[in-house]
Amino acid sequence: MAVSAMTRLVAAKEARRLRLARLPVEEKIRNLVHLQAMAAPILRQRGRNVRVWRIESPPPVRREDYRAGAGIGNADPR
Amino acid sequence: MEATLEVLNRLERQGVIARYAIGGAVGAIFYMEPFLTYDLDVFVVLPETPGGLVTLSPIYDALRAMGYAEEGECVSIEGVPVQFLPAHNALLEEALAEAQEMRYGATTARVLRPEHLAAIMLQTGRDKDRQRFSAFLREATMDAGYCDTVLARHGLVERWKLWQSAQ
Repeated sequence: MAVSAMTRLVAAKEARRLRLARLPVEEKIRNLVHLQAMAAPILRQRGRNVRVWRIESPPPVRREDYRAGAGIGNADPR
Repeated sequence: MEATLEVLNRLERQGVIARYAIGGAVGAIFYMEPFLTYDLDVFVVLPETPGGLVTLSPIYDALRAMGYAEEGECVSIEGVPVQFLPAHNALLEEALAEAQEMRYGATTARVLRPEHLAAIMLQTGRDKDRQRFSAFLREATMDAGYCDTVLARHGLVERWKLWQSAQ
């Protein structure tokens, strides 16, 4: 790959990070909950006890992720 | 998370905590791109007790009375595991005193300033702080002059230079 193309890709990646950093915090927290749901099954397989947040206006997280965390506090699926 | 923040604000209004501010990973997310975390770290100043003893028990008692269950070192408040951390050194005390109110939905939350979050990463110095630090510097908007004074006041200038040179 040409150096200029690589430079463009790195710059685009950096620009995307900055765009994400400038999102409204409510949107960032919704993204965080998506990340939690994606990572939770892997972390649980490794023995870590993690729980996906159940926040207002929940993102479309798979129900089994909530179920896996149920039994701790108020983790009922919506 | 709005409901969680409202509970924190209520605890402060009721005097259970003298002052709180969000720090840790979620504090950083207020200023940078989101990254994975499962806890909400809340730094607190507790009201003075007659014996001068610092204990989180009044917070846990008040939350239990509101129906929120403890989960290990956290308390689950409206679906979010919250970890309360007393401000145990001069940097954290200053960070809490100068934390800023930020809007979250229809409510407000007090969040540590980015300059203090960077200083706390430096002071804590774990691998994950170091990884987060470099991204934080690129993405968060900081007041350079204010940051310099915080670093100087808490003896962190040399580590700042070291970490920056290693990027």
